[in-house]
Amino acid sequence: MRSSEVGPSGQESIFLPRRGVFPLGATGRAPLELPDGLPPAVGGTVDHTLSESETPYSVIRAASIRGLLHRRANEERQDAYSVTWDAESETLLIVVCDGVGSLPDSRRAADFLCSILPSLYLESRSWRSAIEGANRALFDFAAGNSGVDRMASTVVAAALAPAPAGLGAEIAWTDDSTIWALREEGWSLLTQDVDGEEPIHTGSVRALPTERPRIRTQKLHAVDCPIFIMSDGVGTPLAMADEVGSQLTAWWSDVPDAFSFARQVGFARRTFVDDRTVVGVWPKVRSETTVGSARWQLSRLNPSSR
Amino acid sequence: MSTPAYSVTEGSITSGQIIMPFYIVCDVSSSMASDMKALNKALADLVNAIRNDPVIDDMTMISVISFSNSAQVEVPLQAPSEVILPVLSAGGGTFFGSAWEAYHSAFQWDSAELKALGCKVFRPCVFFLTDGKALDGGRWQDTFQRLLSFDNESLSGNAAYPYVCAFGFRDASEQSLAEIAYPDFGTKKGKWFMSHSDEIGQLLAAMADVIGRTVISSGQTAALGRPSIVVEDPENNSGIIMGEAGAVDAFV
Repeated sequence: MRSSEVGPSGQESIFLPRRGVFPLGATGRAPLELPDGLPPAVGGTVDHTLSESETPYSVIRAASIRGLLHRRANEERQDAYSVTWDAESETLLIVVCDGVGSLPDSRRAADFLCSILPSLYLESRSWRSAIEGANRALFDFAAGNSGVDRMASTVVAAALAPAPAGLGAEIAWTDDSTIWALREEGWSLLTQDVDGEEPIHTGSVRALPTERPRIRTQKLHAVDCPIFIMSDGVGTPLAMADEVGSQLTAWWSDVPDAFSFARQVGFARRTFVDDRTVVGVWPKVRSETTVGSARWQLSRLNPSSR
Repeated sequence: MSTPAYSVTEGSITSGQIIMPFYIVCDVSSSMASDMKALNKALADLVNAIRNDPVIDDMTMISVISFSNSAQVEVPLQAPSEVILPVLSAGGGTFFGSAWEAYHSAFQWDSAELKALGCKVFRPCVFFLTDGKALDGGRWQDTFQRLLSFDNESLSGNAAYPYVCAFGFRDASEQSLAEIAYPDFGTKKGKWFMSHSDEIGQLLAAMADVIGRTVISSGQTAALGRPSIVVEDPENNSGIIMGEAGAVDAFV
């Protein structure tokens, strides 16, 4: 039996009552049959987190959802995010980290990077410099805790601030976590795809800490559409399936409330059972008032199907 | 050999999903006649162990191919929970070449169908089970070389080569199993497993246990989006020794 709610578009959406998430395509057996699992061990983290906030020029929703695979193994969520605001420079800082699942303490690496990167960025105003510094710090952190060979994490990050052309951004990424823009014509990947055309899927990644971090950065001069910073738990199905892109478009063309956003991020889809983390930023459009000062308002996106 | 009937229902597949395909290739030559009850039970237990895990059932597909004089796809590639196992029966000689031809044809078909549905197909893993030596010794290697092998230095051949674990008992030998296991290059070579036990029922159950746990462990890696074939060790006291492709000496 499924429950329903009326979504932001006014349409009724059916969600799975057991998990409280929306089905998106074939769900497979895992979302329907897996038990809830044990609580985390002492020192562990909570299953899911969510955030809602607003700046003068943007609205933000964030959710990090424990994946079914970790639930099955009684392991904790290994994704993490941070959303921080520097009032002095009016900079919004977003970091999403995906702990490497094969290493037992990767959640601690993800948490560490999410906490340290915003301040490192504000010191240098460079994601490359910030990530290199965070990489070195993570080596020390790991060595002082359970060991460098027991934790690792990817990083994707964005810094948004007012610019002459509107809202500017610098983005950075190390592996397969991604940033997407939802434009009128559909989804657009802002970060480089790792996999090329291979006869067989391999899924390799090089996470921090590493001797030679693979850091890529890009500047965006006018962010005039929603952007989403996400781990591969959502990025991969979005890249692979038009059906996912179409549904996320329907959900995120307007700003959802935080609880609906979490339900949407946790969508049930067969074989996609990893942790899910998405931070969505809906920019406001800047308009000049009659007395010359800027005012920001949310604009409604009317995207076509993907 | 006829083209296998593809039995995955399109509605159970989601575009973008990772599929880890596993092929169980079984010797059903006449020398296996007294073992067929145990073999059928081992296969049933193996499938049940996998289908009891809903995450792994979603991530993996299995197929069963039998061979003697010729080969036949007994179970087309599909989710473990959809498998209906036929009762295998024994008869005929032992021709490895027909088994490899059947596997190659099946995987080409399966892979094309799954990719057409938008799936990402991981490197296939073959579990090859035999109780003896091939009657087409020398020729089956040519078949494998022609259809399935990959040259890691020149990067020529079949880039979608299978990862092969060879299981043998009775008249099989470590040497023949080391030849079957594949690849024989790289950091992750194929594995072979051999039992000299007379307790055929027990050894088949133990081998099926290795296969089942390998499928489950491998499926777990796929669920994290970073698939890898994880070959499990046999249980202690199972009487099974194991080694690596191209090497006759067993691990200690």
